[in-house]
Amino acid sequence: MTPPRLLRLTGLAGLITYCALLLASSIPIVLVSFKPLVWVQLYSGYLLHLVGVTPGLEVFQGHTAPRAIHRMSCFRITGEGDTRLLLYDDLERCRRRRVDAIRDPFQTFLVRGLAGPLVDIDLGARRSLAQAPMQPLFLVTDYYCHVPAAEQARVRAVSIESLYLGLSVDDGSTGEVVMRGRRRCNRPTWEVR
Amino acid sequence: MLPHLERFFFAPIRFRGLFVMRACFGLIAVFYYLRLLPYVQPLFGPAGVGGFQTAQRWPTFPIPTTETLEHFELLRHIADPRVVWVLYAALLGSAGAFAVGLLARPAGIALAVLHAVFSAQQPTLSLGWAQLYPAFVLYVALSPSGKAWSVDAWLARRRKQAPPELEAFSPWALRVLQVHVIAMYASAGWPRFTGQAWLRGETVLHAVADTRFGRWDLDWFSLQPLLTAATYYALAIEPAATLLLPLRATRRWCALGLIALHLGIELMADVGMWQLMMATAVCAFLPDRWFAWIPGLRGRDDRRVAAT
Repeated sequence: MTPPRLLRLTGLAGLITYCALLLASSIPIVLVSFKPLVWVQLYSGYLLHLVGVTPGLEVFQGHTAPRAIHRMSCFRITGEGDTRLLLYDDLERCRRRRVDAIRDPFQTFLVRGLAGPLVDIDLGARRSLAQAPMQPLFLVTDYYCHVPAAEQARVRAVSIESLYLGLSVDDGSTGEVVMRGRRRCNRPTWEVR
Repeated sequence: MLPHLERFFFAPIRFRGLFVMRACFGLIAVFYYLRLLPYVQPLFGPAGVGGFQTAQRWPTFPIPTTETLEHFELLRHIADPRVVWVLYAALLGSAGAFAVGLLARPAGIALAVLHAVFSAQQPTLSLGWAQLYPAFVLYVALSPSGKAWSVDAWLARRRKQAPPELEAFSPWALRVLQVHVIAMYASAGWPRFTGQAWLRGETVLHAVADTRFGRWDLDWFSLQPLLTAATYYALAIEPAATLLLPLRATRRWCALGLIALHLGIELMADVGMWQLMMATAVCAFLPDRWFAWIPGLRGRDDRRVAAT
């Protein structure tokens, strides 16, 4: 066997293995819950994970069909220190029901990070901020505790007022919920107000 | 079996869509990261959300990292904001270079790695597309994607060397990309048959009415029949793609249906770069001659050696 041929066959073996792992890790085990297949899917996914490869992701899983859809969330973030300091405010957007086709990435980042944890807390969840999906609430408030303006005003706590708009799937009506809470900058806990 | 597989991965093909895919993948990153320019430090800097300083203040707090990109969690260890700027500039530079085909292969590899580094930092920012993107870019970078429609090709012509012709190439990296796309649709598509919102035809309503994603303020509730039809279209075509894309007879039509789906979603909802990325990746299933009308790719030997 010539060296180029050997190289080609080695490459082929690698390619077949990699493609087999990709396909095996995408076996829809929720539909075919045959145990050996579940193992194959899990282990091939694990091996790909080790090399930082994602075979695919479920986007819009739709596992549940809630009767209310999150329509819009807006926030006013204030620092409490020597003075009261406005750190972020887009409440007006929700009051005016303004939807932007191309939105500000940081605003989207805040909505995606904060809406879930604040709704969970409002519904009575008592999870630690260190648990998923609560961590963004801790991380965002920690960021605002230490932005230069907050450091200057010696901010000791950050509070968030959130306006949540929900759409009923059954009758198309929109409801509003106001949620308030704060975190002391030196504590990893959330106080509902 | 082995000769078939060997032919599948190594038998030369000609596929001009590769150059278009390279440009599109590069532009996706340029567009995405340029929009983040005002927020580089709040999102990725040491004093940013979940950055180096938070990790120092709260050493035991489990700051989340994007799943599967844990190996690339680098930014959280950088104390100097200037280093973050340098890395960001390198990321934009490599994305731009990949888009225009300047040192296409190294630029593509750098883009894949730097994108993974930046995406690892903020899991809530990217909505999952960021996890697939590095692999897709890497496949295209490992193909001869800079041979045409590129600054590399233009420079070669200027140096009066023989211009890099659109010759057939060994398509192993393109084949891996095709397999990965099929795996992606299998992962995303089939489990939807257990999703209540999908089966009730409500998922598209959930996506467009929720302004975390939806772009327009319309009375979506009154458009429900249309949205139900769109939900069932997505529910059918993505799992079907795992069966129709491998077949020569159905491949191109299924790819067109998927591109229409992704561009339609992009028009209605903002889910990061998901839709543009997938629409670009699906181009790998289109015939070579469908790219012949593109300036710079036409007028050459138009042998019908399709990417099939």
